[in-house]
Amino acid sequence: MSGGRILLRIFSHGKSRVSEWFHSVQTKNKLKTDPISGARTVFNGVDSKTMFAPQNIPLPELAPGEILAKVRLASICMSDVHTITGHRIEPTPSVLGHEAVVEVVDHRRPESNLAIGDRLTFSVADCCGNCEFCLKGLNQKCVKLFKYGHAKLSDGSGYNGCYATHIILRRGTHVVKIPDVISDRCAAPINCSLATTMAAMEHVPKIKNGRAFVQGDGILGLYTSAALREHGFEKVYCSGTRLQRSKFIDRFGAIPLYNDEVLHEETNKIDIVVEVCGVSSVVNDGFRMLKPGGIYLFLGMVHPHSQLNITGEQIIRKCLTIQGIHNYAPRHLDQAVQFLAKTIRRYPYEEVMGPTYDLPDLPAAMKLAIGKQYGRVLVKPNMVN
Amino acid sequence: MIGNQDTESMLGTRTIFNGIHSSEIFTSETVSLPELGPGEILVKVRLASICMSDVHTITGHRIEPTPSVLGHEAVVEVVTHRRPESDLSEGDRLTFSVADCCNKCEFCLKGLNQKCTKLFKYGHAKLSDGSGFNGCYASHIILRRGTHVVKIPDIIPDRCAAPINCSLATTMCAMEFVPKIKNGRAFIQGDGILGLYTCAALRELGYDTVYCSGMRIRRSEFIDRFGAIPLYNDEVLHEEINKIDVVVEVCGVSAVVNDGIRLLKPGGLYLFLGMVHPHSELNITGEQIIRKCLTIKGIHNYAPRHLDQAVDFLEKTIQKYPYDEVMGPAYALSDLSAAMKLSIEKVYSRVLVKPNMT
Repeated sequence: MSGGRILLRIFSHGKSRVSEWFHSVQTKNKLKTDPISGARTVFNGVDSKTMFAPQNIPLPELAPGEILAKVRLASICMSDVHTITGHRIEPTPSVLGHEAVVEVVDHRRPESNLAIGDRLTFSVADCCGNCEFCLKGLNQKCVKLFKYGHAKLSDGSGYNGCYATHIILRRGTHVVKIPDVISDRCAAPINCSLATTMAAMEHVPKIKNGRAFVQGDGILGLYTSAALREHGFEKVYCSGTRLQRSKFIDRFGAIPLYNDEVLHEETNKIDIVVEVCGVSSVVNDGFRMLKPGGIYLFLGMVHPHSQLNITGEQIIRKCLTIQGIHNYAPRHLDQAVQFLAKTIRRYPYEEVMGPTYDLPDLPAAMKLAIGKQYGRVLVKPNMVN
Repeated sequence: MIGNQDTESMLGTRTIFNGIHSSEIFTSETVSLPELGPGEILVKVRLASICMSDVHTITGHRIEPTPSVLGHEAVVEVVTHRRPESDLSEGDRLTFSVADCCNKCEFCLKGLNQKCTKLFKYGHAKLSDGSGFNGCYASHIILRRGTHVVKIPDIIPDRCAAPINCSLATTMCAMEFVPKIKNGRAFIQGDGILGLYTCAALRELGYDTVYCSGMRIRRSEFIDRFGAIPLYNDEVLHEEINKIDVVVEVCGVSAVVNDGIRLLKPGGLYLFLGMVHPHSELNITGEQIIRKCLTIKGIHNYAPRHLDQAVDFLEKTIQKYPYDEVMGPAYALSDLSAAMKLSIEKVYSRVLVKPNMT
């Protein structure tokens, strides 16, 4: 089913009824000071009669190690767009949304220094901390992995995603406080886009006069451009589509290109190529540009239609390294916050963000996100100051 | 001064490869050895081994400049030299780097000497390049000033020493990327000499379980003696899916890659060594690489340090693995064609060529 037809169905399903209901919930929350109930938007699957169903459900009691947080501002990750357009299958029913800046309401982590009102970012991956993968720092592949925004409603508290007023962070979830200098709009994408960028950067050596090519100008591409410049890379190219290229590429430190431009002069001269566009056909061009010993980071092509048209010989003769990057580990969340705090004034993080929608307007927000005009489209489920 | 011998009076014999379409594919000639330039070493070839890449060249699967002297794997002996700063003596047995490099370009400086901008490769160079004594299917070879050499300890016989400077050194280069993993599990796809050496190297690094697969039509009988569990390449190891730390492709066949990816655990490492030819199309998706956070590393040739590591490794393990037994018979230089023919059949890990009476 095409994205357009799906959205027609969303819009036709009692949007006004949903708005009413949410309005009453919000009013209730304004009157009562203790939030016994939360509101969440449940995703029932692309083929469901009611794709998005709002619910108002009491918040469960917190278990040891858990944190009850209210969602200050969520951002719509492209993977959610792929889920609601049917290109990606996630368990349903579920609450989607995994990128957000949240605020502590209550917690059961006595050993921590968390306080009510603290603004936090949190790891999308809740992990066990002691399996083989956690122990080697690949927590995102934990054997007991749980991912916010990717979990069935019946898994745990059900307050598992960011398109909700609240989220319950589980005991295995790493959290990091957000410094005041970082606004909510800049903080929201930390725990997916920026942290994933940090995970990618872990594989990037410091290279004198380094040259890099970032294939893709979405939020991952822009963050990666900035990160490479901060890492000392002298020349960073970033390519986008002719149809719609970000106008912020140069302000994130990179030389803007179009994805159909063949940079002949950089053949065999690029140290690092980063695929962040989700399109497998760019890989041959990436191989051409890489110098012997170069590194190719794959981040975007996390979908089945990512057939590569390459030979083993190409990889061997140039002694190339290809590294797949999927999600990130707790340390990358810390690095992301530090990176953002350090560079908040250097790059237009705020300006690339799009408009903010209320939770009942999630379908409209999704529709705008599909259009890829902005680095991110935002959702604000609560009245927060 | 050692090495002040006048080489002009000496003769050397070499077998020239003229290309597969030539009326005479191999011609033999005896010519005067040229004078040595500064930094050069005149060595006699004690024993050469036929690398599969040469087999590919003479069967037309690989194009190399012609006319040329093929052969790049050999143990050699110093006749005379012009490296006064070195401790080389006449009679020293040496192995030498296949890649002659400049040591100061960007690639040499970052330790990727095999991609030197001024790269010269023995056994891969035109006759007219330099001395013309550029390959191991000859009585002598002239090692250029940028060529790293390593002495062979007495404990390593010629038969074991010959493949050091391609197979074993390349294995050492691959091993540089392999982490020490507790209870590590590895899968070697291929049982030629590279496969066997890699098995031994992984076991020496502490890997618990090493599998090595060969073809049903002809599998090496030495796999287990190189520390690995023998398998056939059509066996699907269901119990090891997502459990292997390192997979090494050393068979030259791209179809094995899907199986390798399936076997690798998240965060695993895939080393590609064998598929150095155009018919190596991969039938994989970017998603497979991303979701498992895999690393794929291409290994081509090696750098000088790997030659040292190879000699150390062989010296340390010479009694432990059947290095001598996997080698095949030795042919005289005049019988190079017969030697090549036997190599094509892959019955032995290596077929040998002995150009001199020593």
